[in-house]
This record gives sequence, C-alpha cells and structure tokens, in this order.
Amino acid sequence: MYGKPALGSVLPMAGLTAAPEVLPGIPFAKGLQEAAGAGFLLYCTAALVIIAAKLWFAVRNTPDHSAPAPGAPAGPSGDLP
Amino acid sequence: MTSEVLLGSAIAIIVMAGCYNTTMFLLSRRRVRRVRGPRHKRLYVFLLACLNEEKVLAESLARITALPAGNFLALVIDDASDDGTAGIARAADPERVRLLQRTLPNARRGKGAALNAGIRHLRESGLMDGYDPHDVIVCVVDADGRLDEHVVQSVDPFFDNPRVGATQVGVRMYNRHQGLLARLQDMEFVIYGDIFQCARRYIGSVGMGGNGQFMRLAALDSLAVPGAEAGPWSDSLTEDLDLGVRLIARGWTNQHCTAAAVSQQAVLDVRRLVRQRSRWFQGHLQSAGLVPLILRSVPTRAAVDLLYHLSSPVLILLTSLLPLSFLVAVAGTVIGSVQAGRPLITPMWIIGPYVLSFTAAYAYGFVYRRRERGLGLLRSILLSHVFIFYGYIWFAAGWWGLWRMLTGKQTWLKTART
Repeated sequence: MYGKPALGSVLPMAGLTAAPEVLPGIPFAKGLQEAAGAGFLLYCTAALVIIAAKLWFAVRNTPDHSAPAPGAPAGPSGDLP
Repeated sequence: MTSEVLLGSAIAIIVMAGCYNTTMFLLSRRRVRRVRGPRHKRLYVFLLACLNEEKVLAESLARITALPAGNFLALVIDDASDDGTAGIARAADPERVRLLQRTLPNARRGKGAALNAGIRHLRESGLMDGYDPHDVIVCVVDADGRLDEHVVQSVDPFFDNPRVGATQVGVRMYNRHQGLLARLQDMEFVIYGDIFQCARRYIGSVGMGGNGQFMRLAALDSLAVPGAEAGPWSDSLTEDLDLGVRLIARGWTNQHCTAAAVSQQAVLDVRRLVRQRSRWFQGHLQSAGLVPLILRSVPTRAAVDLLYHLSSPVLILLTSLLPLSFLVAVAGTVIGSVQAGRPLITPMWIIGPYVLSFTAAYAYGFVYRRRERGLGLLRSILLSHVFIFYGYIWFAAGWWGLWRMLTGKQTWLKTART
C-alpha cells in the first residue's frame, strides 16, 4: 500500500510516562496508546500463527517446489541475486 | 505491569515499521543483476479501460501512438461512457488505436471486468493471431497515463528473462508543480517505487499497480480458470494488487523498472484524495482473501513480505491511535502547564517523537531528490517532513474504508479528472 512510508512516522507519546504530574486527558491518551498496544499484541499473535502455517506448508511442499506449475515457468524467484 | 506492556507494544509498532522501512531502504540501494535470455521481437498491446475520460484520453493516446516502438497497438475499452470518450478513440490513428465499446447492463462492472473484456476482444478479433503468448506484452494504462517515450525500450529487456511475467514501471504525477498536495503525491509514488518496489525485487514480492503494469500474455493466460469466462483480473477494488500476488503464486517473477515511468494526474483536493485512498484501503482489506493462496503457493521469503504488506491496513488503523493519543496528551499538558503556572513540557516530548517520526524523512528526502534534481537537498528534506504529515491521510482513509467494508458498501465512484 502506498501509505506504507507513513507507518514508521507517527507521533508516539514517547515522553508520557516521564511526566510526573497528573494532567487532564492523560488517562484517555494512555488508554488510546494501550488500545494500540493491545491490538498490536493480537496482530503479532495472528502473525505467528500465519507464519507457522506458512512454514508448515513450505515443509510439506518442499519436493513439489522444483516442479513448474501448469502454464508457469520453472522457478519462483527469477532474478534474485 | 499490564499497562507498561501495552504501552511498550504501542512503541513496538513504530520500531517494527522503522526496522522494516530501514531494511527496504538498504535493499533498494543494491544494484540489480539482470538475467538475460534470447531477444525476441514482441507485440505490445496497451489497454486503456475508460469511463468518461474525454478530458484526458486524447493526450494519453497521442503519447502512445508517438512511441518510438515498432510493433504495438492500443485498445480503448469504452465502459459505456456518457461523454466523448469513444469519439476520441475513433479520431486517433486507426492503425494503432482500436476501440471496444461495452454497453449496459454488462458495462460499468469495474476496471477488472473491463480489462477482461479487452483481453477477450483481442483474442476474438484475431489481432494477436500468429503471436506466441510469451511474446505478447499487455500493458494496462490509465486513461490519464502518459508513458515515457522510452518506456518500451526500458521494459523490453526484463522480458528477455522467460521467468518474468510482469514488470511495473514507476509512477509520477505530471501535474506535480500544481501545488503541495500534487507534489506530495508525486513524492509518495517515487518513494514507493524507488524504495519499496526496488527492495522487493530481491525479496520476490514486487507488486503491480493499476497504471503502467506490463504483463506477458502467457502469464495472464496462466491465471485463467479453465472453463470460466471472466479472465485474469478479479473484481476486487484493487485488482492490480490481486493480480500481482496471483502471478507470484503461479511461479512468475514480477519486476520493477526504474528507468521509465507513467505519469498520471494527481488529485488536487484533499477530500477526493481521502476518498480515493479509502477505496484502495477497502480493496486492500478485500485482499485478505489472498492469504490462503500465499500460504500454499508463494515462496517463504516473498510470502512473509506479502503477508506484511496485506496486513498493513491493520497496522495503519492501530498506529492511527498514536498521533491522536499524542495530541490529547499535548493538549492536557498545555492545560496542566497553565493550571500549574509553569511549563510541564520536557525536551523529551519534542526530541523523542521527532526522532521516532521524522528520521525516515531524511531517507525519503534523499531518494526524492535523486528524481527531482532541481528541488535541492534541503528543500527535498523539508518537503519530506511535510510528507510525514501527509501520510496521516491514510488514517482517515483507513477508518472510512473500514466503515464501508463493515457496512457492506462495495460500489465506488471513480476519482474524477480535472
């Protein structure tokens, strides 16, 4: 997706925990960040399951990878160095 | 403890994306070793799926018919336009430009359906008789697409490698001088092509875009479902993404050509831009259906990258909470500072977010300046700082696209030309 460059470029609350005072809105801000963190943990869990499934497919299909698919050329990766 | 873990996880999103972007940047700087095979004389067929494109079509056709290439033709697929699109196609060089007029109720079923009809027409009309499908290159061009004069000469060597099924050229905005929004879209496509697409050549996961994608006819044929009439393109809102992944799954190599580009019209209105990106976002969400295919048929390295790419909508939605959180915290701190009678903001509030958010801007500025020499390095880096904020339109587009997906809305008006 063309928006991918934006992913590493958000403004996180890096200094939030360093603020000693109780400030208005901070609990809400913290809740938003925690929601993002919780979502990311779920994302990582799902990613682990999917990658495990991919590895299982890769191991199971290893002998077939040398064979060309019907109507397709012999190898999957072409110009890889 | 739980709170600290969740806050740390939120920062981990940025760290992960930063590591990914850095890896892609470093990979993109490597030179490409091109595999060459025997040269063939190839037929190039340009497909233009058009729905009410009278404002831009004539210029695009003029560019195509003026290409200094020997063996090529263009097929304008008029998808039941109400305006003078068909007339413009008829007025073009008849030796080079053919017209296929679709009519309702079969027309206006999406770009994929129109392109499939174009391929069927090419076969039925006998235009490709006598050609080996391996030596016919089909190029999808948007009606506003202006191909570089040397595009065929730049793309053709990629197809000397018989494994290459498709090659995507760079995308630029021809109206990039018409304001900041157009300039930022140009920067967006340059960065996507020159960093991410170039890096993906090494991973084996180059994606296709809807404009300037060159495909070997034999590769498209390999995607056809036996007995089905549809054709290689799906009815997804992002049929280009879908097609690129399925080509890789069928064993073809996708390539990205940096030596030539297609220029298209940038959207000059923020609301229309967000709507366009919402459509792409929704299409990306639809592409989740490709995951089983990727797991089964794509080599592991490319599969991991494609899965990350397909899951990027989730990351965009999650990261959208962080700047919101930051803004709320800043507002709270300003109010708290007023109440306390002294500033409560430490330098960490500025330096930390700046480093995490804007380090990438220097790499983006460096890459963009290589394409736009006249811009200067300093202006390019300043522009890339603005570009970081421009990326936030994806947050609005993402939530809009998700809402449309959840409410079952699938139809979209195309982005209007100006």
